[in-house]
Amino acid sequence: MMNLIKADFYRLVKTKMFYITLLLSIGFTVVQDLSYLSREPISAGNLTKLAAGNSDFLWYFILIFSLSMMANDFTLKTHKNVLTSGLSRTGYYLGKGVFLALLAFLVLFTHFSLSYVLGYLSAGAGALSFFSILISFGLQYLLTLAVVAFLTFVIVFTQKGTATIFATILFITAPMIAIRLLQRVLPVLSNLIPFDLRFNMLAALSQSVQSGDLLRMILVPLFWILAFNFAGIWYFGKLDIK
Amino acid sequence: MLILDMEKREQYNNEPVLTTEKLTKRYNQKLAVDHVFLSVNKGDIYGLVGRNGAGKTTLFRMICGLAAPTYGTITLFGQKGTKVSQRCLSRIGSAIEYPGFYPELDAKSNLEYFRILKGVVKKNAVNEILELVGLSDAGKKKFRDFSLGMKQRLAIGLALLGDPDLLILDEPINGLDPLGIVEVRELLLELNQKSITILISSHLLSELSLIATRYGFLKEGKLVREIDREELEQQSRKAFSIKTAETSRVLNVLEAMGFKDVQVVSLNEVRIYDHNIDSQEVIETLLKHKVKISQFSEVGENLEEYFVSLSQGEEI
Repeated sequence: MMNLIKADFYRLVKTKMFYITLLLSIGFTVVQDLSYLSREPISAGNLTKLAAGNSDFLWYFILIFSLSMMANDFTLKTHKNVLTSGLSRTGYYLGKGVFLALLAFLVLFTHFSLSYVLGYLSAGAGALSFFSILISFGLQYLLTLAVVAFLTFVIVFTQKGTATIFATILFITAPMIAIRLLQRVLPVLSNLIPFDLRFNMLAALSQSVQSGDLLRMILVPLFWILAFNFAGIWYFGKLDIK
Repeated sequence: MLILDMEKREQYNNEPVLTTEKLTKRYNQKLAVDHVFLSVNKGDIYGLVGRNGAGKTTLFRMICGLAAPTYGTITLFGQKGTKVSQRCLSRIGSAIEYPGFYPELDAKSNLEYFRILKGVVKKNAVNEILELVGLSDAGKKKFRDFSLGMKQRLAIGLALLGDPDLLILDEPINGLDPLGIVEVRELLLELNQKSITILISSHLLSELSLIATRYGFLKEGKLVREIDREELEQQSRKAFSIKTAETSRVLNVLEAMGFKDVQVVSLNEVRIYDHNIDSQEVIETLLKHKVKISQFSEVGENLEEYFVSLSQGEEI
């Protein structure tokens, strides 16, 4: 599994897609941060908090990486070469998952670091503690890992890039839109909001956040991560590779 | 061309590398592979022969762990099971169906990716293999710009990565030019000399007959016959070939002469398979009946013809 991750990093740095996608994600972050800073100076802590609450667009960059580094394997049939080389199917699945999780970390870390640096240059470090920023990063990363787990599952299940794109966009947006629209009619549905993977980071970092809410914010993505990974490994394990 | 080292083969005789017992694969109602008992011994170049859809690729895919058998067992390097273990798989080099590589990478980078993946420590292994398969001068050319022949060479190169003990090659000479075919043939013979066992399928039976030491004939998922090269040569029936533009008249004459095992091979060739043929008498009788003959010769059945007669035989 480690060899697969190493090999994928070797391939990643050899492709133009990696540099273009990374530059685009940096560009989006900078534009977003500058739009906040154009209104008033914001400290590093507060800008990072703002950036954390509005970083879902990064999932689309992670989607591009997933398509290029995993869905492509199924289209090009290179996964056959990997599986006949002695790597187990579970090893392959987890290897790809860990690789994409590391890429997601890189994208998120770049996003947070840039926001922190731009905020620092604008109005200094600010009052927000490093621990708060860490929680913010951790929560957003956990949510991102749930999206990665979904992505790997859909790629293995459909083995098609286009199907993965549509399914992921639906997974990210449809529950959010549906719940937020329906809760106007049925207010009780607001209890489902945490399950749509679009938590309000600002609320999570506020002084009034309940410990139960925070726990739920951790448990829900963890549930999705485990569910999609187990389902994916089970399905891939019994799949006939053609 | 390298000569098959028969003495070396003798040493390995009956030391099985791969055996399958009742190996079966069913897709819905269709039996793709039906109770196959296959036996590949160490040092063999085992040629798997069969028409399109006979089950060759499905059989290979099961051996390589890409498809799970519906029934039956596979014994690889002494380890028996319904599935092939990862440890055993790492001792196999394979190229099954269309070779999958990354189009944006060149030959060296593609192989380097798989070198890292397979954990091959020797860093020069990629250069050596590129040299071996004749792709050392491919340079920075991307895989997407490769000819089919180059893709096949790279697939063989990938199969060789990690010094495998068993090579499984599905139609490895498809798309190669005549010179490329000769090079691959020599390469396979050279590898076999280094005690690598090879399981290979090919539509080019004449080519297969130049390297294979053992054959398996697959028909509609069933392994209808396994035969050694020597046995095949012994069993290949001798025949008299009559080339003529008057096939029907020749058949009438031969029937009148009492020959029973006569076959029309093509529009202008008839063969007599009966034993104890007096060729002089046949020629004289045909000439007496004023049948025009362009050629009369003794021929032996080659692999292609053996396969055709096996496919058409009632016992299959």
